[in-house]
Amino acid sequence: MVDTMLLVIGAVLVLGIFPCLPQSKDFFSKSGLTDTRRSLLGLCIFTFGGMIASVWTIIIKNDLEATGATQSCTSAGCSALIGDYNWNTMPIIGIEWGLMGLLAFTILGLIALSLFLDESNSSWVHSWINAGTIISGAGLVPVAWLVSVELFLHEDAVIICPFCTLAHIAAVLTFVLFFILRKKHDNGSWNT
Amino acid sequence: MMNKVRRNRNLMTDEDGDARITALFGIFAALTLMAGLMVINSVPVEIGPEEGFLAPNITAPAHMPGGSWGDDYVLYDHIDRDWESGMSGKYFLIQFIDTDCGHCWSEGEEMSGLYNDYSEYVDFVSVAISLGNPGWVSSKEEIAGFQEKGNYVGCNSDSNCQDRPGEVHPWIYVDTRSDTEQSDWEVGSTPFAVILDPSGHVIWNMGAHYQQEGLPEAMYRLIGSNLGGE
Repeated sequence: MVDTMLLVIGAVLVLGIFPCLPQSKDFFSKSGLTDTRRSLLGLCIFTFGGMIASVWTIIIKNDLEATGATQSCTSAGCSALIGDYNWNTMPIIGIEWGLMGLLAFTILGLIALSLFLDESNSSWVHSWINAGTIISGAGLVPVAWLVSVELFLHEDAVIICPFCTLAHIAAVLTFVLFFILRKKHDNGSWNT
Repeated sequence: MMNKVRRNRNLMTDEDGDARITALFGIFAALTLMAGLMVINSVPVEIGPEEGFLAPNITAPAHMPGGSWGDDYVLYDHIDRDWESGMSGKYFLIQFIDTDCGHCWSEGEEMSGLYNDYSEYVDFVSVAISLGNPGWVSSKEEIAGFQEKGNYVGCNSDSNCQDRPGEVHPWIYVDTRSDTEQSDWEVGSTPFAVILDPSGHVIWNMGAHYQQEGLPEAMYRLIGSNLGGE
């Protein structure tokens, strides 16, 4: 059985891809959105999807901690990875990965939404795009590690936690869009 | 002219700020939605040392006789959350001690006896805490000495740990002197003991049976009598 929330978050991420596609240009031109702002809209949706996925892993972890079982995820990977203190805790800092993801996507969402709402290519835009690119790029390091846990490091590998995977996909898509937008700003085609 | 230019730039800056403030409100709205999701999906579970409640977790460095202080012992990693009455599974005896406390010192023998009788059915965990009484200074070495009956002066205030009554305690000792376990478990004095069923729920709290039922009697009533007598 596929969890309903898995479909919801998946749909949010797919929805975020739509405004980034060239084929959606006509649809959004009626609303007066330029290519850049369409990408920014997609970026906002990706970060929102990442936030939901992260929160859902926190919910799963709380369920598992409180009762040992969860109805929020039927996949065995959830309890094996999210329910395991060692795998679900960030080294050194010691906070759970879901909370870390929520924090990161909140910051990236704030940047994305600010850029989306700004229509005048203000002076702060460049530094905020850079910040978004750096933060989302840095986020790929833990994503790579968490994916390797699922594929190689866990004692039951290969074991997939679907909600974690959606959060990882959101993180990668966010970085890719920030990277594209940064290049766009650097070569002077921001307002197109 | 200069002032005019500067005024215009300030006006631009204010407009810029507006987008970010609006975005901030948008993010607050998204976070509120996330918080709502968590509240709606939260599972109400009563956690505490009271009988019937799920026991608070314990996460602290662990020690076994002959070894060194190693990885954290995590109580919740050992409980079987799917356990139900009638199923097989190991119970838990969580004993809180302060290695300088005289009653904990003398209870060492009783604990050895209980371990000999019930270790097949019960996981024993001794949790070393610090009551903070004047002159009671504990350390990892002292806790290990108390457990192993090692040659260390300081147990029971100023006794040599090797003189502790009872045998070497071959179960896990954890050091929670600097953590919050003491308050989570509402430990006011030591020794203090709690018995958990295999699912981690408290089935006996020493404080609730003060001067009515001791630990050996409770162990027999809750576990031993179900095994055909111990």
